[in-house]
Amino acid sequence: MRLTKIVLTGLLLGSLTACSTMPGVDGSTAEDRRTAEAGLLDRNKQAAEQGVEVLSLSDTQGLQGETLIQGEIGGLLDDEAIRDFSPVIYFGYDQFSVDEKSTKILKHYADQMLENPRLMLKLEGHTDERGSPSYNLALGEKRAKAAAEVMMLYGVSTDRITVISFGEEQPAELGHNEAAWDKNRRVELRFN
Amino acid sequence: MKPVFQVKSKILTLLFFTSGLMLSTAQANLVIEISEGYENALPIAVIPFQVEGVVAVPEDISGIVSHNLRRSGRFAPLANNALPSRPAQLENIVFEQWRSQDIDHLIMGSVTPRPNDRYDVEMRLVDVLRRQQVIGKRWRDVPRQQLRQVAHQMSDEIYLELTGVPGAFNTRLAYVTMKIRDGERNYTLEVSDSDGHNPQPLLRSKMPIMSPSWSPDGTKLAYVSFETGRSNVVVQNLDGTNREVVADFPGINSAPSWSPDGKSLAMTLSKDGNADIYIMNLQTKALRKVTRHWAIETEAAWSVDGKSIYFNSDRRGQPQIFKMELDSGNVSRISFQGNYNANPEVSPNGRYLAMVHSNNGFNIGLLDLYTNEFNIVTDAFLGESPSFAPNSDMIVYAMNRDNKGQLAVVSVDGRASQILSVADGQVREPAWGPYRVQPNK
Repeated sequence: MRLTKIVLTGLLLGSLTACSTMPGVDGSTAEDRRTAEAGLLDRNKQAAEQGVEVLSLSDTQGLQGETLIQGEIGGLLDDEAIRDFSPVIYFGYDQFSVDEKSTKILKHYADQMLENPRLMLKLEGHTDERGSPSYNLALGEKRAKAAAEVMMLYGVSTDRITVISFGEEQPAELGHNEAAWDKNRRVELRFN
Repeated sequence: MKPVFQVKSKILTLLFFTSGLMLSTAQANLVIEISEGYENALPIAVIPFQVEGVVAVPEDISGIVSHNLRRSGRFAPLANNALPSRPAQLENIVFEQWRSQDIDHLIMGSVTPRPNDRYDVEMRLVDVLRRQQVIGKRWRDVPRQQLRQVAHQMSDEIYLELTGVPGAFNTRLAYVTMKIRDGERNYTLEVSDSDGHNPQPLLRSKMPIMSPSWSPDGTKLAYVSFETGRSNVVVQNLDGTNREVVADFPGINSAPSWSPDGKSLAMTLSKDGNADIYIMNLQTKALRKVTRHWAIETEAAWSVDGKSIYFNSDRRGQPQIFKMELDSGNVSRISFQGNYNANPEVSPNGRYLAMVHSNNGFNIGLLDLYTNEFNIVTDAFLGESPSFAPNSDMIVYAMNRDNKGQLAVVSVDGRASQILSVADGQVREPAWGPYRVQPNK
């Protein structure tokens, strides 16, 4: 989820810059500045309460969203912590963003596909059983497409990837609890 | 938000295990369990119908009527052993007997066997206070396999007379069952009577079946089948003929919903990149794209006049219900309560919008489109897939209980409920069919 945070930081930075150039704040009295700072703290507190973590502003200036994603993935390559490359990646509730661990797994298989040009990949998106089945069908597709985008970023060409969604229809685990749901929100990689 | 669901002090926990004796089909009936009724359910007497002659009658018609009235939640039929007498003719009724039991209405009748396994059936509804017959009706030469249907028609007429609302007993449900045999999933699209009897398979598949949707005339079903390995939208006549894959585009093909005039099918396709709603002219198969958004747009439901669709979009981050006027393309947000609202369904009378609602857990939410009042009408685990009875009085939905997918029916005021399950599998994705006979109100 680091990607999301950095992008968010960029957005916040933008809004803060706008604040500091607002008439009445710039070059104003100490009291005005204190008021402005209090406002910023309030907003940060509010954001934290809404589950958004506000990160440091100093070192992100000028970074583009796209270069960030590239840089982030590049950084992962050195990390050898993950050795289990089961061909399945998991997602958060109602989420379709690919996390760091999943990115490493996808990178591993992208490399294999580049080494074996005849390998074809089918990405099957799945959701847990909660909520509406038809919405889940669309959500499963979003997950599979998010995984496909990562594969393409690592050089796998589009025409070697098929995306399919089963929504909540084919759970990996049959239970009706958080543990089963965690296992069911997934994209499975199938090669042929 | 004011939950109307209340735990009743008086719970009718009557289990009706349908006997498989009268039906030789391989399909297991849906079992009905009436779990809740109205506190002030109306006492009524259904006198076992008199059987003329010596031939046994294959269906307990008065029993079916009594069961229907009870499961509506609005009536409390007297137990047979509590009946003070069993008059067969109007002139044999001792009205004082019934008044003292607080009974305002009597239902009586007879079944007369005819040659070739056919039957004449008579039914009378008697008003005890006014001491007169309110309904008197005869069905002639009814084949054995239509006796249950006659009992449901009777129930509809009685319900209309006593509540002012047409009954929806003589209607059908479509749903999907999933049974695991030898580690393999077996999906079946079935249609049964509204009481779960007489289930008939329309499609069996090893791959998922989803989203049955009735044509307004009740002759066809649209649904989603994964038989090719991917989701397709299929239209099929109830008699099994004219099966046609109408949408097999790249990406998902899902959530079919019939327009009120029966000429078009709204559906969700992702052929252009992400899930959007399209309307297909069923005659020409021409497609019109009605939503254009990077977010998920799905689960279209038509307004009663066919001029708007309600749909689900997660354009605000989580699924919420929106409405689009088809002529202008104007979109307005409809659901504001809770963090998840999906699968809108419009009641046939146009008054209510049911949806899958979540704040914490998943239940059926009901928005009154006249008053804008929102209520949660179920207290279920994993409630989803709401579908209205054609009289707009009840909602069938899917939920999970005892680790099993089951169907439940709840009244729109959340007070009466019943559960339908199959013995050896899951039941999901219910769709309540239209009237088989238009009520003459």
